[in-house]
Amino acid sequence: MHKVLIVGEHDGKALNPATAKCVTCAAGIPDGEITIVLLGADTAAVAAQAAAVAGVKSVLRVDRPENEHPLAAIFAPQLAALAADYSHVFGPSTSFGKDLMPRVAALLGVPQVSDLMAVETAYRFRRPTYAGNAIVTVEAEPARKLIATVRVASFEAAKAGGNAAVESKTLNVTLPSHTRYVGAKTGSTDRPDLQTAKRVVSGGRAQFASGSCALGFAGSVDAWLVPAGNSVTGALVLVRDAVESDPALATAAAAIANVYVSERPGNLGWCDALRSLALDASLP
Amino acid sequence: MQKIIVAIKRVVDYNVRIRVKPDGSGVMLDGVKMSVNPFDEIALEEALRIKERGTNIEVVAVSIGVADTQQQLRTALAMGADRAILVQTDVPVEPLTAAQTFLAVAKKENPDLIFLGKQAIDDDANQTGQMLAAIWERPQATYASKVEISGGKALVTREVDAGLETIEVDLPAVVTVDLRLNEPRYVKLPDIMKAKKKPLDVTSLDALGVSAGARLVTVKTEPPAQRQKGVMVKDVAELVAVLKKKGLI
Repeated sequence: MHKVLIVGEHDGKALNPATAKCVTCAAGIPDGEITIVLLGADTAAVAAQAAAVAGVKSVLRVDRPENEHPLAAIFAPQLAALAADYSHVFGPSTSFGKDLMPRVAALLGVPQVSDLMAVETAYRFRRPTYAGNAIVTVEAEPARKLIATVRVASFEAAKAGGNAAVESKTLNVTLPSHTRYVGAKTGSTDRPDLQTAKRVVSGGRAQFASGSCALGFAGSVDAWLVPAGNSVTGALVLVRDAVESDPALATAAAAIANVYVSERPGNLGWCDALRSLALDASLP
Repeated sequence: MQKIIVAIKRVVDYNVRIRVKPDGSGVMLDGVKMSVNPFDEIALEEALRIKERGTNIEVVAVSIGVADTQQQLRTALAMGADRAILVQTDVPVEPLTAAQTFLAVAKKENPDLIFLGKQAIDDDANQTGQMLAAIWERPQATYASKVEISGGKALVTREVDAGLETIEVDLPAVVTVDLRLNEPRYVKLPDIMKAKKKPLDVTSLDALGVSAGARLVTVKTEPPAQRQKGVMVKDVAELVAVLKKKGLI
């Protein structure tokens, strides 16, 4: 039997939708049993949400004051200690998971599979490389613990309707003091962030160069992207080379919160840029 | 602040259109232009700016790879690194092995900071910096878009999904950089000439006591699924109508 530990992402109040997507991914592991672990200062409310995700056997709460902010240096040693009881440890391929999971893997002395997009067997997975231009199938040794980040855009969220047991866990792990949380600045907007957006509206040079849209760049951001983004309550995406080639577009984009700019530079072309947005989660 | 190490990876140039080999054994690399990983250029630029603001700070560029990786290290020297170290190997190096290699170098060099790109644009793993920080038992500040150094500490603004997050880390620390941190300088011809005289030491994984064994096996490489044909729409109303018709909103 395989025991899969999923590192739940949350903000102290709500479980990030990425977590339920990791559950769907983990459900693809044959003969698997899924546990969600939540680290935080007080995870009671979030634990109830995690317990309601269908397919989850149990939820572990690791509450301590040091866990108030998701610092990789603080979380990783706790997860490395917990990992002893599991064959697989998954985290989301969000900025939270991408920061944290390699640190866990290295503490355990095992490799990590990044951006897992399909499960073929318990130890064989598909993942994108070269910004999604080459998909590789990788195989890990069953003798080692398998650490992975899950490319959340590849999986639907697991449905509600679960009734997992919730257990509080105390870990006797010494935590470092060399890393301190200072603060955060988030966009004040009703629009969701890119990772949790159900729909994404994208725009860039090609869209406007086609001649089918008579609006200028700056006008486009306001008149085209913003209304579209609002009417579908999605995240807005622009491609960096379009932004950088036009100061007016850059100014207009800077004025809008939650505009995401694709990093794939240069003349890779519009399709590649969109594909990289879809596949390469290195955003915003 | 006395010494900064910057990790440099030799990768396929970002302008090259990647093609997968028909037999699925990998991507075509013969005769393809190779460059410094763009994120590593940003990492080096940040190190150089810190060097230029301070006094007597040495910037050391370190790479792991084939003999030709000296080209990328010469580029780093031309940008302004003081010296370079190549850990030469012909076998592909996984992120954990890379982290172990940089750790071995760090133990010899005792840097105050190690800068890396947040990921390499070939394997897109996004692991090496975090793994290095873990086994070095030092702080990590990933996806940096602003770095301020003072009094043995670094205040780092990080690009996270929800916006920007700021953390403070004690030095020595590992910082991985994001695209918006800075714009790397262009290399000038006289600097390329000067770079030829700068020291570039070549060592090996063996000499550093690192084993290169592969832990993950790449079974096959495939091109991505073909993208479906798109639809042109003339305005927002039509876009919304199409999306509604498809049941997407």
